[in-house]
Amino acid sequence: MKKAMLVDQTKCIGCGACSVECKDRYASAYGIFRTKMIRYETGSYPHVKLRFRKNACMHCKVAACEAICPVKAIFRVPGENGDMVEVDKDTCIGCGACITACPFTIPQLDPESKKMEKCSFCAQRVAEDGKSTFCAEACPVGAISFGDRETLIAQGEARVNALKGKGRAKAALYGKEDTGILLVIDDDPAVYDLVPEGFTLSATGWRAVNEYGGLAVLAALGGLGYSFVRSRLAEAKQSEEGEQSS
Amino acid sequence: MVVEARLKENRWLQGRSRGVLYSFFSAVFNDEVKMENVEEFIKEENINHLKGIFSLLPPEKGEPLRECLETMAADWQKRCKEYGLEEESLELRREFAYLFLTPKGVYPFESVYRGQKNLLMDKPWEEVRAFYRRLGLEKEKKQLHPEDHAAVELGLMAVLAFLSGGELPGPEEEEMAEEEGYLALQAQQDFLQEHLLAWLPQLCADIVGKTRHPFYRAAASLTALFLEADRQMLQNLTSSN
Amino acid sequence: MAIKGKNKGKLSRRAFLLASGAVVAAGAAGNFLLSGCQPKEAEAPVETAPVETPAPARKLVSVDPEVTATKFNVCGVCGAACAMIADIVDGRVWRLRGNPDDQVALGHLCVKGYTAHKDLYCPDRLKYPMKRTNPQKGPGVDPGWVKIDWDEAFKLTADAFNKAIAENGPQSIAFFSRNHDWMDRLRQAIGTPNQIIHDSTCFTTYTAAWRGALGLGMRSYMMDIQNAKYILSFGWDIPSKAKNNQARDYIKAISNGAKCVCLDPKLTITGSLADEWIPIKPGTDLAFMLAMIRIIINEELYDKDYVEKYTFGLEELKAAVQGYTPQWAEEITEVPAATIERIAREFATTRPAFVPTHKRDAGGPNYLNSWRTAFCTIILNALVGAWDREGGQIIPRRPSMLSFNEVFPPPEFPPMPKERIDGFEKHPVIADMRGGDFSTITEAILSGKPYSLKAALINKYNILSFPNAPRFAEALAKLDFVAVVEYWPSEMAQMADVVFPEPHFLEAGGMTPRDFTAYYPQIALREPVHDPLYDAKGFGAIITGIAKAMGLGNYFEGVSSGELNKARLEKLGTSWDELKASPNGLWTEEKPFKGREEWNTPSKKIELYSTLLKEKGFDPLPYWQPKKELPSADYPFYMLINRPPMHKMTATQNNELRMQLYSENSAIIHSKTAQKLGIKDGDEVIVESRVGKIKLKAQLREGIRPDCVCIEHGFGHWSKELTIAYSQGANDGDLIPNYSIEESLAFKCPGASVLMTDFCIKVSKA
Repeated sequence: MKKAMLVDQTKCIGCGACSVECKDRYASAYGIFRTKMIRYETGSYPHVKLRFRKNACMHCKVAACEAICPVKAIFRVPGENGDMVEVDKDTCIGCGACITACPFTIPQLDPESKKMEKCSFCAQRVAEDGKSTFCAEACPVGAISFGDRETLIAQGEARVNALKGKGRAKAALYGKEDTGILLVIDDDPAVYDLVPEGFTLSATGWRAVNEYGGLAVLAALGGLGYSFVRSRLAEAKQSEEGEQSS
Repeated sequence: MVVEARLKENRWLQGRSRGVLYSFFSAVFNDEVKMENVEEFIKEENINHLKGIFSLLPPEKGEPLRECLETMAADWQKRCKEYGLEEESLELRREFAYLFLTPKGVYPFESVYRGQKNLLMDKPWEEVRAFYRRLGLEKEKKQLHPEDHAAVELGLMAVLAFLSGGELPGPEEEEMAEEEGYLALQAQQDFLQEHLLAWLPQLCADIVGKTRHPFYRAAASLTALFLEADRQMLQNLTSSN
Repeated sequence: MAIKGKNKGKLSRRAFLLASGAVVAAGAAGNFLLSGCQPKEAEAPVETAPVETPAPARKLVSVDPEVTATKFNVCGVCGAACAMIADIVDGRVWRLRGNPDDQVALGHLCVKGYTAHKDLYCPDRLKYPMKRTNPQKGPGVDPGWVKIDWDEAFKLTADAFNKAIAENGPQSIAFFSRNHDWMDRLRQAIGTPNQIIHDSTCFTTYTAAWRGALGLGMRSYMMDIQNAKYILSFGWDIPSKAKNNQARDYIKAISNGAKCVCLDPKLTITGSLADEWIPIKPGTDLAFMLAMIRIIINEELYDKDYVEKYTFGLEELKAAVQGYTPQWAEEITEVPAATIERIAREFATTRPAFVPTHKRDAGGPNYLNSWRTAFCTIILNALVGAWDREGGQIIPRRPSMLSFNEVFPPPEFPPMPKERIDGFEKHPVIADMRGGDFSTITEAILSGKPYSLKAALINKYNILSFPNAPRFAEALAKLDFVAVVEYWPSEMAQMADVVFPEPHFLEAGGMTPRDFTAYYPQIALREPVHDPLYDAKGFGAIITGIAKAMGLGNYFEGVSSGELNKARLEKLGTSWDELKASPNGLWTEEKPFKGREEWNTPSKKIELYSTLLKEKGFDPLPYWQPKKELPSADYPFYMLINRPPMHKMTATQNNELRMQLYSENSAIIHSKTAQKLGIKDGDEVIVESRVGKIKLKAQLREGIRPDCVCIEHGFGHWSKELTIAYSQGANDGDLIPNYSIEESLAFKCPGASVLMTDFCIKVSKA
């Protein structure tokens, strides 16, 4: 069965248990969190709400990062868990193109290794060891569920219906079609900095461009990003050549 | 044959002196210094012997070591005279606590210097422990410092130096003893390269920057200078092999 | 290793057996202690260097190492004491998990527990006993530490204590410590009444109310909130503090469809997750509750069976609250009368309904009227039948443990003066709890009244936790001798003459009964997860060492925690061996839950009219009383204090992992207020009260009343030896006024409230 995670943002207390557990297990560099709860304050006094979003890779079915990566460092877990988007650190050149492309601005550049860092869906644990993810195991309030995708979708929809029954009209299950991570949200996706659903179209757009050659994609990134990526590519190329000649 | 004989002689001679130096350094990092031990260390006879060893080095390496050693001895005698043994001893104890027991000083752990920020028993600790294990060693229980503490790492070098210098009884069978000597030499070279040189010079520089006492300034400088020189000494010893 | 021959890459065992001794002999230059390396007793498995084959491309990265051992422990971060499991990889803690069979942890920890091993491995920790050589004391003064051995540390402390006793009497010594059997025995053996606890900054208003209405000596922290259908929080905000069990149970309740209403001047996590957030005016919750009680009684909406059977004084209460109309309460609270009416009716008729309480919520020792507020929470819960019933406040089912004195009967204690240094004995309702007063102690020491205090032993309390912390530091500096037992080189440690290092809880052994969630008796085992790093001793051993050095060793003959645990477990029909062998690290006595029928009051009922409070000279019924200080031209804002989820008080900040999530506190101000003051988000501001001022960053929010400023507690460490926490943020405690004994008594609070937030402040751009 295909695995997924359901993050119920209407249950999240924003404590950071998932963040520290993930960070410690993966020994992420100083300041880097593969997953972190972002807090949003919405409305104006006295009608205010605090919203949290688990700011981590959404594992898009059609991923802009995968499409744009000039060295094809981003790959999929083979088999049924193909929603899981992975980074091959040996291939990654740290150009940052994926950061620009990601509709959620998730990837981060590890300042030490200069490689892209993001949530891996604990792919090794999930796809090969049959275990859960560290964040789901850590969450003390049960806001993060891990399991079979279909079951989680049903669970998420039931939760949304219950919320709607309490008059929370904007409650929704986000990501059913597009992402490996499902979110129960309580407000417009934009409140959580989430792109409208159906965003895969734009990602497909990236892919189409990419097929015509990396440069077109890079040009689309605009001034700074362009030269940055270019120089990193050049560096990578030079060092490759250097290695071969020595 | 001549080369081998000279090598053996060198190895023995240097092993002994290097062992003395490393055990001195180890003691400095390990605990408060004992006044009588320092007195013993800076005795003329010992200083002259060490100077002899330093003279085997190229002058740009040997000279600073000699100077540092002489300054240390001179400062020591001057201060002990000026302040009296008791007052100077208290001053040294205060400095030891300041430098090594409170975070105002330094963290004498490889883990802190080479691992994640501010953490004991991180990856480098694992590596050091694995190194000891490969040699068949482990830390004594009563030793409170973790394996990657400067005193323990320098202590290992002292043991290995004495061993390669034939100062410690080895296996009875000559072939094995010979082999063990080389093994100890090789281990010193590896440990120096993989571990000590990767962090101790920085630790010593931090001590020099933070200490308020000339003894620790000299001891730290001497340690750093010697480690650098010892890299070459060991290289000479093993490369002729 | 390059050379491989007969020795198989290893040095011969014999050489190293002789190594340590031989170095001493060989060292021509003398007798240097060589840091011990010894050959392994057992042959270690030969470790081969990792084979360096290039990893196949696109391999998934595995992070689960092979766990070489698991140990049971109990989290020491907060009182919930979650049972934990430590996964150990090759001698080092890799991961901490919650014990799934523990009813508190239920398989999880909170963010603080998950990161506790970073405290264990922090090189800043105290490593050896040390003494001060610099006679000068104060914030920023280098103590001039010198390492000493345990005997010298004990002797220095014993000599200082004996000198104080000889010159000024036993009462000139004080123990600043939470309740601790060993400490308490030494205190009594010395004959001083002075144990100073933080309780009056934390919960004694609740203690007084619980004693008055329920007859329970101490309040409980257990709630069956997960089964409540209507949760009415008056500043109760455990979800923001991420306390594992209660945060989880609150989320369970809202997931089950419970309705939640949260009254709080600031928007908390509790308030945000609730169905309604009502930004009530600070210190006026009492008025809201009184109006609710009037409606519930007048409209007969209460649980008639429960109230008739289990409560006492309904008629008196009814008469007392008649003046408290919703319109009256609206004026005070700024909550519309209609809202008050609606909530009163919803609360009384949607059962199980429940007012959860913990410590520093509306009934905590924050305001002059807080004890009355605490009393009203008891009454509201009684009116809906929430006392020790499903979905309500539960009295935990603890295992019945033998007391320390039962296991180790003490020799006779010397007579003890009654009068305490902090005047706590003058609060008749709570005098016997030895609570101690963090507020009055400061002026008592500085003025030498009621008498001179000369020496103190302080265990794990921080200067930053005291009202008017800088003033308390001045008082400490006045003492002849201060011994501090600590894990961290904290601010308190900086003021010590002698410091004793304590082990981290992960290095300690023992057992802990379940308390914050105890539907049935359960005990959790604590195993040391590894050998202590450095030379630390437990508090019990430190106390025993001091006692022996003082010549009071006879009070501790045969006393040990091992014997204590053994005796306690045998009384329960089990044994230490059985607990140690337990596959889940727990001893459990499953018992069906049965609600309490009787209370410990004179009437055996919940006293809505408290005979105890009456007898001790306090109002037996909850009448309205305003908070002490209101905004003025000089100090125009109310002060609020909260705490972030990843920190607990002042002991969790020196942790790299937690600080990467939340590294400094800020002054939380409403955006409109800030605009008027010309303050932008992130600007440095000065917050000033009549006793102190602090500088920190401003954080602009919508979710706070425009007349309030909120500061989160736990920051502003000034000990340079806390290298991670040092100088991050500022200490709210510097703003809190402290009071003299006379002032404190004049508040006429049976719970000795120190009024933690009953003062106003001003804010300006720095």
